[in-house]
Amino acid sequence: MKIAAFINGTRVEAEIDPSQRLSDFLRTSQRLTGLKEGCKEGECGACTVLLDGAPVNSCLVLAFQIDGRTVETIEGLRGTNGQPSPLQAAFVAHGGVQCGYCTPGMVMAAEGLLRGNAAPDDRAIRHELAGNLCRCTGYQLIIEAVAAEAARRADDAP
Amino acid sequence: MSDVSAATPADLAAVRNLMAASDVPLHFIAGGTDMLVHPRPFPSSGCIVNIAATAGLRDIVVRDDAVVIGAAVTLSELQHSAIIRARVPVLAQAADLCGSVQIRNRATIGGNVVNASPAGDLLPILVCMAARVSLLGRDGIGREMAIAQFLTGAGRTMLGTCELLVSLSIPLAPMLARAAFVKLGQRDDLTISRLNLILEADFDEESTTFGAVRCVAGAIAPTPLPLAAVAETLEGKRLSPAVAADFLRALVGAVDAAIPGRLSQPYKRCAVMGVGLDALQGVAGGLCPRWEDLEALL
Repeated sequence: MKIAAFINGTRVEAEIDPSQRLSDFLRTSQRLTGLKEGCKEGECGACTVLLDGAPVNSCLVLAFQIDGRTVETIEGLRGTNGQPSPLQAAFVAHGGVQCGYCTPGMVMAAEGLLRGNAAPDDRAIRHELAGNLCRCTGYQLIIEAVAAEAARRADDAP
Repeated sequence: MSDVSAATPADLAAVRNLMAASDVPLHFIAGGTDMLVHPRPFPSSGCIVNIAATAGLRDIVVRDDAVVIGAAVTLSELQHSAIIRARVPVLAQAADLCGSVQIRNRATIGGNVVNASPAGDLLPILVCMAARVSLLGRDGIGREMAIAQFLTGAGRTMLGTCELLVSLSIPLAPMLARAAFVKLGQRDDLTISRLNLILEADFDEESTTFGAVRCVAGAIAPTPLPLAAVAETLEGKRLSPAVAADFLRALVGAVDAAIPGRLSQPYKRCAVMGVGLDALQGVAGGLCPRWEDLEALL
């Protein structure tokens, strides 16, 4: 079947199998390999993308369900001149990245959080990132990175 | 390519048309957070009907003295709905305890009900509040029934082949003044209930006395378990350490009766006391006796 959706700001038309998962469609058909298919059961969060601005597990969405909707992946989160976005830079600066497998999903979940809650406290950050597993960092540095980016956005707000 | 087709009906009229016109099995999907969990088998034939955005399944309204919730309302929407927070706040609180934010942004109340997991977090609340389900059959005929009748076992419901759950309605009239939902899992977030409990009660703070009380437990039986005998330990009673201890002992008795001999029984008969005390605190607030006041009585 044919679908049309906005992926990272670009209108994309594609012929897809109704049983194909969004995570598979993005990685194989769209070559957006930043997201990872870690568990295929919504437990690890490595496949997190924003669907109409809200974090979702792309492994638990059928690709045809994005017809007419907006999807953002880690590749769409770049800053100016192709640089990492400030949120990505915060992850690097605070040591919130080690092996990096969880990072694209973690960053997208954090981006979704910061768009909906401009001033999350530590507890809110932990609650909203609970769907993203990381086996390297122990989470604390990730929490600090997200808090730092929230503070930066607050400073930049008019 | 698989042999399945797909459709995304814009509204309920389109769903009815699809039901009438199609002669293949229809598999409804909204959030997909149960249906797509690997390695569950994916339908190998028929039509996958995406109802995630179908108008008529997405509303939360107050109608005929009931809160009516469309089956495709997500848990995030339940959590943030002004109507739910004002009229059934315990449902918003329970929604916030389900899964992760990614799950809550997709999972629907309808999915939670038709999946009929013994550990489903919303189910004890819906049973306690005497919710009714509204169904639409493939023949275009609708029917309604109490959710307690609809849920028939672990993963089993009265939903017919190709029948669609359209909405749930929670009557406002018998709703009691206070309610607390407590969930116990292996961790705080993204966890499946080992035990959950809703305690709904009329409670007068001045006299510290209970009026009507209802109590339903989840994850100790195939379907939510109404605990009338447990509720009776509080009904009409003035809250005291002795009454609270009676309540907790009755909860332990309910667990013993529900899962005799099961490996989890020793754990759950202890855990239910903590869950019960949290629920009591949720209803009675600072007037609830502390664990230290009760220990000697148990």
